[in-house]
Amino acid sequence: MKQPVGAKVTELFQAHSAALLLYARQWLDAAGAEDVVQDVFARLLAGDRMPAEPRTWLFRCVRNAAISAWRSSRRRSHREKISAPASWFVHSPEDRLDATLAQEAMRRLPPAQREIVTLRIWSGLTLAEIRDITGLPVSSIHEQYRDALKQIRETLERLCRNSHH
Amino acid sequence: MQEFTPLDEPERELEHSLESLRPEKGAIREQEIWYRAGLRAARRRVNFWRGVAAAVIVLAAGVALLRPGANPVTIDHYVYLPNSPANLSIAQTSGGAPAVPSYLVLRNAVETSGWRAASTPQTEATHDAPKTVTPWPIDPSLERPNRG
Repeated sequence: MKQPVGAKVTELFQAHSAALLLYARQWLDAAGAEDVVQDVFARLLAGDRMPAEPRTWLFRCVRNAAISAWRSSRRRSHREKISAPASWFVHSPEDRLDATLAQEAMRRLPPAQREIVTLRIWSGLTLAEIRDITGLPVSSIHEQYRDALKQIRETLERLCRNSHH
Repeated sequence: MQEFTPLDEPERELEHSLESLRPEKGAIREQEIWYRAGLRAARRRVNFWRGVAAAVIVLAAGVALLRPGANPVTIDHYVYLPNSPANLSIAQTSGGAPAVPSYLVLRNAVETSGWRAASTPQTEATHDAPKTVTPWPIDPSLERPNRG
């Protein structure tokens, strides 16, 4: 039996809203990212049909909307960056990594690499799905992902050393 | 399928450590999404009916402008004229030329009076005034006696 659109959207919202929000925050502040994610889900809900690949569709729509919003409000975004950035991750004692340090390491990555890492690690997308969203070739995505992991490790080591000193 | 070099152990470990972090859920509410979806759907429906109304107006204006004019109605009238010999008279024209009796007048005269009527002069050429010409021959017995 075919699942109704509303139930499917609720399921997708519960499964992916946090990852989508984190993805949108690569370009926008917290409020802007929430606005974009809500709007994309509303578009999906108001539509008559469910896309063939809803997860990929959601990430692609959030990407386009976030880039568009970022371009139209660069100044505001800049102000937000200067002020204290809001946390990207939930702080928990069970984490194997300090969330603040990880966020800082992520922020220091080039935007393209940061996007790939976000999609791969917190959205659980395959390289082919990332290719469909970003338009980059799979080989380039793989290469940039490895570079990004290397840079994150180096940044974390540096930040840990500094914090110990 | 393309083959890529797999991640080494430190990279894999870092990947797992990063995966353990959970992204913030933010303040997104599901009700807000349903509300926005309703607004979108309503706006789309209104736009649809606006489009229909505009199309009807354009169509009506087009029909009003391009409608062909009404065809002229032709009504035939048949007028029947009585053509008995008694009603026929030919007025002599003012030019002095004798009026020429028509075929019908001559025919009636022949029928009434015989072939003599055809050879009898029926008009008199005068230049004074137009005369009414009788289309049939005059009986000589009825004529006034010549006093001269």
